[in-house]
Amino acid sequence: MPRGLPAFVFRRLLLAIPVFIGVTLVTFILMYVVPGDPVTALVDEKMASTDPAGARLFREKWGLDAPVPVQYLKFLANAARGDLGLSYRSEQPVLESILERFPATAALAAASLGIAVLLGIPLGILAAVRQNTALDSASIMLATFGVSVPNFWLGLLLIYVIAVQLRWLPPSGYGPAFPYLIMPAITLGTGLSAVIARLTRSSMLEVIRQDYVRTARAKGLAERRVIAGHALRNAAIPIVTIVGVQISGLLSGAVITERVFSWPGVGRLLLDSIGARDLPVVQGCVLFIATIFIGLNLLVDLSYAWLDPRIRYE
Amino acid sequence: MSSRLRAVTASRPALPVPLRRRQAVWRRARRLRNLTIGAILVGGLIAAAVLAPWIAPHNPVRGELDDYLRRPDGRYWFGTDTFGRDVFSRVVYGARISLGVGAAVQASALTLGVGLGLLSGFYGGSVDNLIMRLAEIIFAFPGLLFAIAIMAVIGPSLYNVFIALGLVSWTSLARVVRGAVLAVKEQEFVEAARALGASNRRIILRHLLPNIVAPAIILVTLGIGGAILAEASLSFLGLGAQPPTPSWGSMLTVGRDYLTEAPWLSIYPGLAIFLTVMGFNLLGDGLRDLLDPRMQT
Repeated sequence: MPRGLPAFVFRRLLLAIPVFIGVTLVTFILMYVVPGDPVTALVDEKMASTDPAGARLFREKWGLDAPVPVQYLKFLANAARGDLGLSYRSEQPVLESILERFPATAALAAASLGIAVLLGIPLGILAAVRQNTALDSASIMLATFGVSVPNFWLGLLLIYVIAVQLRWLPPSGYGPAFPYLIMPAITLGTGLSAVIARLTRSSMLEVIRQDYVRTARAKGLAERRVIAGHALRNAAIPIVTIVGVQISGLLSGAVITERVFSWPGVGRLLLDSIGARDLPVVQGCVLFIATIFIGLNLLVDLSYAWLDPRIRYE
Repeated sequence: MSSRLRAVTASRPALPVPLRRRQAVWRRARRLRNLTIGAILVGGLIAAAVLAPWIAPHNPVRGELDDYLRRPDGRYWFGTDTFGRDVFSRVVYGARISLGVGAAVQASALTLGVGLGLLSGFYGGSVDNLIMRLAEIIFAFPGLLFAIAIMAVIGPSLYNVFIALGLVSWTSLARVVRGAVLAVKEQEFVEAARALGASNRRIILRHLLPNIVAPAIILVTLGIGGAILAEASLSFLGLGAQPPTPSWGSMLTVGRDYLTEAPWLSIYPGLAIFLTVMGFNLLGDGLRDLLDPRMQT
């Protein structure tokens, strides 16, 4: 383990606390600036009446009669214990519904990240190693396409061509079988693979001109080992950083991809809850995704030590 | 020796310096393929938005029910939708919405980002701390997710899209501007201006602002594409523009439901989003290569 790592992890966790509290505050405030009265909107649907007595009962039941700062502190204390409240609709604990859907989202995000890395890094390396050739131009063009294509449109095109016309894969839905995952993962992973390819190319171009790469070649190492062992390892830090930053895009993109493919993940739960004005679930989903994002970025920071032992975390 | 010197001086074209520089920039700009293609795509988009009433052959919001889901043909180039409306006319008018959203969102991002970034970098201390912590919190949310949450709360409408995207788009600009200000403010010309008695306001406006123009232009151009994509995504999710507004994103929502029988409802609006976003991305990349080659990736 690199020197100073435990202290660094501790400090980094401490730094994440104010950000996390800020995130809960923003999420909480958001739900309280609903135009009109959030309760009226819910009572309408839930009790099919807007009588003041019903509304009062509803407020009391859900603790909405307390002053807003008190409600926030309660929300924060509960959130710290992993209690995100109950759904207005199903009265099921919010965290439970989120955790039920999370495996689907995690599978989608992991498969997309896998595709992005497996496509993006080799494409970037090839472009850098064969700089200024047709291969390089083609990969730059592909990357520009990948960055610009809206993922929901790409998803619709894939469904139309691969599922409707060719009938190779199921058009949408969620099954235990692998085929259901292929199209959603390509849809979500394409944009990220383009970003990774562009960055790998520029990062590799910087590294392959360094003296230590020339030395590795001069001592007779095979080109493959020079690129994989010496150049890529040194080009990796910016790539890992950008993957960390782009995970936010992956999480947002999952919401859209899940909608396109009727994928039963957290994003779908979020959108359904927005439609039903089930605010505790909306709040819970936003907080959950933001927390995962903060956690993943922490992991990215920590991975620097493994990638570059010169980093000492002082 | 002196005659050679004279010959060299004489061979120089007698152009005023700024004009020579402008020509050199122009020559370099024409060689940048991404800049050229980006400018053509964005130019086409602006032309479609401005000339929409003359280009669109049909009314974009009123259709003929007899023409329900007609395939693309000589009369309806991109086919018709479920209300018998001409998809081509709707795509052309959609350029106005996309461009409007992109411009409005980036205008607010520019105002907030440059303003807060300047304040943060110039004053430092608690002002800097407050602004940067706020940016950090907003940054801790995946951008589109935050916009979705805002839209969930304030309700779906195009106007609310401006607010939601404006609120989330300023952070990266503020960080870049802050960084640029920090780098510039300790330099001698700023110190000299201060020694000459220039006010803070004058230093910010006359000495710091011109130094952040290049990164700001690049980020804003790239940001317009991002904002257009975000609006399309929100509208696709039913959280943005509402019917019958011809927004490309909401056109795709309908397209999804009729993918098997009417694929043209999905193909053309999506293609319009793709080309527009690519146009702004290429233009932004090209401007970066032109204005600030050090930032090249």
